[in-house]
Amino acid sequence: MNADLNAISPLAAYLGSFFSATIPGWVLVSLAVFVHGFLLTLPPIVAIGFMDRKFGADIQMRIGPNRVPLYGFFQVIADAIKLLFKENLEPVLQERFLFRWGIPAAIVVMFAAVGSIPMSQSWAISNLESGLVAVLTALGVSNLCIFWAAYSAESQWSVLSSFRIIGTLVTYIIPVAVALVPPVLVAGSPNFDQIVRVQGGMPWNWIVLHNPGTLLSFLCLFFGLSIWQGRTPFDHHDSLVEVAGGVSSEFSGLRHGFVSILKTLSMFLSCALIVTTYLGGWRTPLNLESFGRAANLVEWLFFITKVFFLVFLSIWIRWSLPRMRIDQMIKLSWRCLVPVGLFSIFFVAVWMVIFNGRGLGDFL
Amino acid sequence: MAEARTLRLNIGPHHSAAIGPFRVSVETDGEVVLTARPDVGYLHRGIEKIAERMTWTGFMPYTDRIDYLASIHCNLVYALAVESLSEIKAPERAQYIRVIAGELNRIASHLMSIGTLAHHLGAESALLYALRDREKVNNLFEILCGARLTYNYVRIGGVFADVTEGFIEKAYEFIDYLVPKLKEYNDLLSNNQIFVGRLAEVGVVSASEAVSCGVTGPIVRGSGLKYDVRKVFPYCVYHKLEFDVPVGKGEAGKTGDAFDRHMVRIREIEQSASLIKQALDDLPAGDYQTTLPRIFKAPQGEAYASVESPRGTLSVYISSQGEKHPFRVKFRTPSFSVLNLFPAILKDVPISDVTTILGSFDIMASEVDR
Repeated sequence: MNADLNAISPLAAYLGSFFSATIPGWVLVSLAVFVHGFLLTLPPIVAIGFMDRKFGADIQMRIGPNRVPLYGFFQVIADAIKLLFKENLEPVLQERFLFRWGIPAAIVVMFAAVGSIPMSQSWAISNLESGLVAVLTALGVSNLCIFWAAYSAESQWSVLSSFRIIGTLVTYIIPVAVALVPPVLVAGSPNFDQIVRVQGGMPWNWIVLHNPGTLLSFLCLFFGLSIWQGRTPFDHHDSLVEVAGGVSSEFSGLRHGFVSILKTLSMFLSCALIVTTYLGGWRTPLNLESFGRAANLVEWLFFITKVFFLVFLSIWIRWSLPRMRIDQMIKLSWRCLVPVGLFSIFFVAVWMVIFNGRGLGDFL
Repeated sequence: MAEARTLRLNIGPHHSAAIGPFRVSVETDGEVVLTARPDVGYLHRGIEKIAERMTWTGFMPYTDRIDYLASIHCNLVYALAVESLSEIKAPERAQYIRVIAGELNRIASHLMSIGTLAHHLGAESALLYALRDREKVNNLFEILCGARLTYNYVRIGGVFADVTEGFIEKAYEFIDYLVPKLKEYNDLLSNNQIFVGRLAEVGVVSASEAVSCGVTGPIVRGSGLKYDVRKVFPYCVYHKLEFDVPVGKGEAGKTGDAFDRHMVRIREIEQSASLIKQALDDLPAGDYQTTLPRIFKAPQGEAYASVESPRGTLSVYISSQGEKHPFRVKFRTPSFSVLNLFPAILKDVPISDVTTILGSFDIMASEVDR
């Protein structure tokens, strides 16, 4: 029974191994969802919120939050408490349901996507046979949820930004889908577990340095997911200057807090996806055999460190570059990212045939 | 039959792209702006009417509020007009100090404009860098007159306080600091492909269009017309100082686009720095103000003066009946003329470019309405 559970939900099986008595699978899976959400995903997201403030402040020569303990770390929590108690204004709307549930739905979809990405060898809620496709779908569905929320808000700026979200959707989805193919070619499977296991702990054993083609598609994926996140230089749908805050312009109080969570979560999800497919996932260069179950924690720390490095890069780009116009962004995507991505698929496929699946790291 | 439906969007009066309460009502078809109509009056304080109940000297602090990013120029133009009416000659030293203060103010205003343009394009850090350097100008003004924004520094017949040794040293230091810093702005913005791509061939104002709308300042110079009041009708001691008038050359595409206006501002900062240096070098000794009678009355008559403010030609027309207060004061402000361009320029442009164009025009709401 445990082996079956491991195939469906590695984290549930991992949690089950702590109990001597047999516990029904559905209890363990529910527990896994809870543990994954509150212990594995939420702390990094809070940390990203703090990093965004502090790095942003540092780049702009400000000090950033410093009136609360731990160098301002608790500012994130203070913000959350403030948003919780602020008045939650709701305009008179035709579609109140979508307005209320659009953003939470997007958050749930993204959490589900994060849950299918392994954060260590057995810390994933679900081990889907084609996890990559599921995450790609989740990206698109989350965009649709945000579109509903923005469109149903009925304010002119929100409606305008909801159209821009659809513009973003047609811009990023092809480059991202194309850029996710090379890891599948290298690993031979769209399953995250296999994609990670085919990589090693050292950088030259990661898929990004497998061959020149994967390096190209890695860049494609990075920019494609930046477009999906809607962060500068691609923040058309929530730019304050152009569309008056766009999606969040009609959201106040807790709903506004949900939008901030959504932005941070999307950053975490995209960085986690890149780390898993290209940067070795949870693989470590250490020998963890003697660690037993604690090995998962070390692997999780390695995984989170890599994610934070990418987050740092995103924050750096976000605070330095100006925004592209939406037509320039679409041109970048269709004239640059898509051809480069398609070329890299071809290149990787040919490489895999010629060198019989060996990467640059194998020649060292 | 489905008819074509358009969306009317109000950019302002409270919008993060508008400096001060100011509204542009645009009609859009999706992302494309069809028509644009500026609406003014949200910041009208009746400064010209107030002048009629104030004494000649007492009106000076009100001029600060016409354009709070360039208050020295507003002080100066009023002082020049009253001086020419009552035939007062400000001492040579005061003239030089006025040039120094005016150019410092121009640097501060241009830095603000470059920063807000970058902010409109999403490069938020550049605004903070610009504010960092503007802060140094504010510190200099604090030494000079105690105020950091509304200076109330220029007086009829001179200036309010003499420059001190500390100020002169710090001003030299600031110039040496600022000129290399301009390279930083160029690296971060003017040489940035995304920034150039956003500004190139956007909001193209032809020279004839600019002239027919009465547009002056960096906008008309960006269109390639070498018009600068400091050169054409020199005031203070500008005829004794050497400086260039930078004009747009269409470096990124067409002459008169937003990028040209941006570059004109960057180059004007350079010219202003050199002007300050020259004025500090040549600063003559002597008095810094003339003594006015306790109750100052300008003689009967009319006078006109104009200066080159950071936003263009700022003029004032005063009419006196020999009383202790003006009969009528009329300001001609550069930002108001820019509004004439809106219907022609904000046409068939994407909504994203509206804020870019507004930023590159550098409109001051308080100056539009007075």
